[in-house]
Amino acid sequence: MSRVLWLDDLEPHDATARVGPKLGRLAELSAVGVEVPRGFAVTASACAEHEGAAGLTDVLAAALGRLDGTPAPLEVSALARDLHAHYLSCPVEPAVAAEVEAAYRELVAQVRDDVVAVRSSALGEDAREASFAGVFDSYLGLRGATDVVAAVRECWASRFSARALTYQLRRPWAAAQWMPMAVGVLELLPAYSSGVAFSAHPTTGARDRIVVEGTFGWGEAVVQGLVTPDRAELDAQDGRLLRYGVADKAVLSTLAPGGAGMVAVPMPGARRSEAVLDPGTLRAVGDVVRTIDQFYGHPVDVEWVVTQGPPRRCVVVQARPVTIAGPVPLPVWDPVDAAMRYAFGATRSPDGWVR
Amino acid sequence: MRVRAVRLLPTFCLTEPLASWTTALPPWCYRRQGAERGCRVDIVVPLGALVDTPWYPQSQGALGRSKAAVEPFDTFRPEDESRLWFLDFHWPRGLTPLATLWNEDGYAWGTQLAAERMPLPSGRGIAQRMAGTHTYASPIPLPEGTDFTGRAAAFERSLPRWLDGFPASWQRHRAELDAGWDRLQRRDLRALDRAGLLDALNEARAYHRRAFEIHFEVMYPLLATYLGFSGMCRQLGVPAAEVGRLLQGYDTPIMETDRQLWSLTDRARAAGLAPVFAATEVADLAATLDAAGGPATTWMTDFRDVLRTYGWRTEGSADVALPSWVEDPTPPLGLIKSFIAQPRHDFEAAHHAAVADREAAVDSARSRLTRRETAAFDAGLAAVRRANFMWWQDDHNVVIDLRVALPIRWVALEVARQVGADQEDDTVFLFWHELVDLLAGARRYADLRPRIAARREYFDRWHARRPEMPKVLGTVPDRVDDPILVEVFGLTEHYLDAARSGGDPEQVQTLTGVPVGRGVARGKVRVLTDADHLHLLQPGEVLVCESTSPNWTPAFATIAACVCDGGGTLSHAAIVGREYGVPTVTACAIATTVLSDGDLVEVDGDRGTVRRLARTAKAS
Repeated sequence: MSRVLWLDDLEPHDATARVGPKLGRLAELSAVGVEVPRGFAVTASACAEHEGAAGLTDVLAAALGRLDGTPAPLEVSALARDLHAHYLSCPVEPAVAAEVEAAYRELVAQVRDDVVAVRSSALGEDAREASFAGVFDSYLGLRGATDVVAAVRECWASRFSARALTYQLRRPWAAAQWMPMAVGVLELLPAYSSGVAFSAHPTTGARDRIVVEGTFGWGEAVVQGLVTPDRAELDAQDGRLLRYGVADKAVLSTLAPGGAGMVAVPMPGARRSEAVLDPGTLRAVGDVVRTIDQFYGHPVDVEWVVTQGPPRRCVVVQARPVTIAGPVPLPVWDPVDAAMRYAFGATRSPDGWVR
Repeated sequence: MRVRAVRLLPTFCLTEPLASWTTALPPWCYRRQGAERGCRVDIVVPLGALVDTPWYPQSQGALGRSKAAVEPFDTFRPEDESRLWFLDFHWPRGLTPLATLWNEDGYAWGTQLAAERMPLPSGRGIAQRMAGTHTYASPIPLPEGTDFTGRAAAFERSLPRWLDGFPASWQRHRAELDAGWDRLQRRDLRALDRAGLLDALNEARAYHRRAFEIHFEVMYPLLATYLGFSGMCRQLGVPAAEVGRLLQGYDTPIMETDRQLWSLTDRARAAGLAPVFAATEVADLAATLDAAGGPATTWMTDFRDVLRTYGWRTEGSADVALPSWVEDPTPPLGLIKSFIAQPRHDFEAAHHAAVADREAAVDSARSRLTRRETAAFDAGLAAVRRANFMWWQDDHNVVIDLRVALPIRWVALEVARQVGADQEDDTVFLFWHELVDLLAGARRYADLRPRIAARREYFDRWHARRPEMPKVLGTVPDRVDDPILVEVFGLTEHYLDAARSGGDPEQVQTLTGVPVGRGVARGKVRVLTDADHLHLLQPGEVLVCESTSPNWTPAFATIAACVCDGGGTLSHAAIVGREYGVPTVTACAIATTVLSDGDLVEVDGDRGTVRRLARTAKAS
């Protein structure tokens, strides 16, 4: 079993099965011409190899046994604390570490930059029935092989945080095994701007409206809720800009000195209220979101980065299906329907109008 | 949802000053944050002594003679306290006994019949009660156990057909109303004996009643369609304040009248009459101009010619106590007096601006919609333009509200003349059945004379109380769901809150209402309680009133801004404010209480606020 798989080498048809949906989708999208970051996956079997060599397999199996039934939240958090600390105390199996370090060096040579993102990609994560968005760790802005290997271990260990444990216990197959996890080591693109885009309206569910949110630099400050992004709405049919809200973007995410991740710094004054989503960005993001929506055949949300140029490139760093409550009826003018709904507060039921 | 009712101590008692009605309620009893989760707090404003207040002297038996479709018109009863009653802004003067024909034919017949015939899915029309001379209204809910689905299904069948036929059916209705009007107007009442007058009276009443059948038969579906469109727009993210703009700029006969008045103003100026207008009190203008001879006499001839076409309107809606401009030309002469003192209102420019603004609003709405949404929006817009409630509001006023009571008035005045009444309008202080009895010889004027005098005194007493009448009575929820009450009468949450809490002129610096006419303007306040004093308005003043009705329209050419206690986005002031480009805020609830003549205010018609910048020296 390979310890490392390059995204370029993955076949779309089994990528998700091999490296989890988060990385697998990048391979799928790459195959349909969407630009994604370069990088490799440290496989779930490398993780298993490390756990076996470090004597973690038995410890984890025993812990799983203790979680049988419906453990109390306090019990879960105590166990999580112990497991997580123990996991991080075990050095990474040298054969695995060596292969990750070698792959990292090759990535640095390819992209001519030594800053990377390390992202968890649990197998089964992001499945439509159980979204684990944000449960497992990701690290942005790492530099150097040692830090990368350490971050990979952190990602593996993030399965044993109290929150991750709770999530995993909800899965129907929870009792059988711990969630296998692959970890992506991807180039960190020099971001001019970044953000999220929805191929359907995230609150109304309308399928004819694309929503794009973005800020200058990397999107960390947005993810952490430190800054409100600009927001644009586009017509999904023709890409026309329908609405634009410029936010006061007080904070900028930037690389910490020495490759120690991301830090938030004050946004340079002139940029705070400058519109970040220019027509070129909106066209590129809108196109890519529509492509992905059509490829999967259901609404998606997409994390995107527009690189510093020239030329500026629009790169998708993550895409996942979004769950929409139900088919949203297309707006149609029907005087009776409108009057009943808005003048008389009635709704149509199978048995006729009700209030 | 659970409803917790908070009952206030009765504050109404005739021996107390009426001002105590509107004293501020302690905040704990109406603030929403005081409500428990999921519990609505209703406030009960007690009817108190209103239930036992004697009505018009010798009015026993006056009520209940006229057929109501659902619920007859009445005075307040104790059980009324469980319902929401709001002071109807259409009749700020109060109604004389004969003028309560409106209550019988308009509300108790017209609204209720239309609501039942259509049927209106949401309710059964409007009920009203009199407090003294003042009308309170309340929507009639569907009775417990009503088959809403069946009622809605019937509405669903009738609305599309009705909408398809609207332009043609309105033309037919208009023709019917015009034919009735012509017949009644042509009649030489002086040539008629009592029996002939009785026939004429009954015919005028039938016309009155029929006019209100038409009025509400048309109003409800138009309103429902407009509200449907406006709701769809809201759903599509088109701001509520923009929806009215989409329908503005369509000419109506009311605006045509305003143009005629300005044209007369031009002619008066050209004839050198400006000094006469400037030097003469409004009440003396007609006599002075008639007596002046020369160009003044020629101008008065022109003026009367114009009135013969445009002067069949009263200074209030459907009120038999009010003369038309033909009968009493003081109001139009007063308007011309104020017009002549200021630069000409450029109607063409205002009209073009309203049209341009409308098209800009349409473009702006479309630019924010997807192609699919635009298709729905365009279809809805086409439907509401074809059946345009905004336009109809003004158009129907000319053929119904502003003249419908005149034929009854003419007969009543002729009766007064023939019986040798002390005052020419004595008969409007009789109830309908008394007037009929008088004509039928069953009663004698001499016997009625004392009650007429007593009723005049009663009317004046209650007229003076109007500013202190509570805006809402009975069980007042913190919000009303009926969009008709919200959009027409302006019963927004904010309104109810302000109406329940009252307003202390010392405390309140900013009023909030519904933004209906765009722009921001500053000016000195002129509080008007009814249209009789419209001519007092100075150019550049801010008109503050309970509400406006079509007869107030010409004033919009001279004022800087308009602020109303009542009225929503579909009220008259809203529509005219948009057409004239005058910043207008409605549904402030307490503007007439809180603001005084001479206060300097800033009216923000975009945000719906009225800020007092300085109080008049007199009040402070």
